[in-house]
Amino acid sequence: MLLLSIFGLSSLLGASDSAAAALGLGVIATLALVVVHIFTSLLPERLPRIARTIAIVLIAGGTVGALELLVNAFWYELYKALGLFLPLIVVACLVAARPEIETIAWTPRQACITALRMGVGFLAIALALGIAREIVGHGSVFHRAAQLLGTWAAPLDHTFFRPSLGFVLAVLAPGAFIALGILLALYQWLRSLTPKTDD
Amino acid sequence: MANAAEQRSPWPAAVLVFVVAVVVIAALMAIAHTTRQRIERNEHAWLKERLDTLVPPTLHDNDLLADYTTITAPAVFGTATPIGVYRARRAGVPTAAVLLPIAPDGYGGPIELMVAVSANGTLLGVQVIAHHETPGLGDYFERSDWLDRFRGRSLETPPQSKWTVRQEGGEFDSFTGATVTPKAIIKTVRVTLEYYRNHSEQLFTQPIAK
Repeated sequence: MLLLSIFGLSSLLGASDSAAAALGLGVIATLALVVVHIFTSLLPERLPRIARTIAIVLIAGGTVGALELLVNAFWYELYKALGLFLPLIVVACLVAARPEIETIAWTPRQACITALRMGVGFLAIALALGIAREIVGHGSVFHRAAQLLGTWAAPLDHTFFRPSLGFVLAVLAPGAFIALGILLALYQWLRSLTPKTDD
Repeated sequence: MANAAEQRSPWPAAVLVFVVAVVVIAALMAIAHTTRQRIERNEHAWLKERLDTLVPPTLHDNDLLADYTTITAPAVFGTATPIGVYRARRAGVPTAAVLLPIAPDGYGGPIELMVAVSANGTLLGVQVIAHHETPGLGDYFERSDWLDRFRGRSLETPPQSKWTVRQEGGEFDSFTGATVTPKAIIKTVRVTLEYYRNHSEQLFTQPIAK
């Protein structure tokens, strides 16, 4: 299952301690996936493998750099909150999607749809981790969402209990691994409930 | 035949990679150029917001952001990084200075502070602008009024021996489960006040730096 590529996930753990940051990161990663997929699908088909790889690396690097600049310009608070994680995670996400990006036969349309599916999967996992960790750790969801994401996100901001009552472990790095473990277990359990199909 | 010849010749591929590189670089440069001003404005707005909460507008009639200089005093601050200073003046008379010292001994690395001192050496306020302290423990100052308790203090209140956490006979509360962070902040604030007392004249006469 491509959504659960552990490689892409493990780097996500650093920035999933709050729901608002996780949502912002998920959207940015989705955007990066779509842009990289579309541009690589435009590369000529009959290209030596090495040239194709170089071109993809150039496109991916350029996309991440451009996104970083744009987020810095238009979502400054989000940029400050994500810091180094922004390029780090987007690159990890692209690496995880490498088999799909390198597929030669995509039309731009197919590539776009594939990228969107992957991006939304990544977003869903990031958001699930972010919400769970923020509730357990700080007793809130989407805290500071209005500053990070824009005023439209203000109604998402909820506080359930005082931050001092929170279980600190959840927002620390080990808590991220525990949360991810629970999430994977949940996923396996849900899979075991549905009848087996060949995938 | 044609296909095989094409695969042997590296030129079409090389040209294509070159074109991709040029396009990517051009696009990045264009984006960097168009966003530069906006990014600069964001940074200024972010700084100004913090400066305005520290230094009341009644205290100055100059542009704090423009009246900027740097100091370097590794022996005092424990870091060779130049420390930024924003100077507040009213009718040309110095009224306050906002120093940006770095506490080098934070638990998770350096803690970047913003320390506002009025002309007579009283603290107007302290803010943390960047840190890597443990979430939930060392970042207690983010979710409490702990930093507010610096306001109005000076080198005399409390006396130097009391400028530490309560566990060590000081006047300041510690954080639950984290004493390294508050100690690092308290020490740097005290050191900043001492530097200000000894160098305030030089601080306000120094030329504007970039």
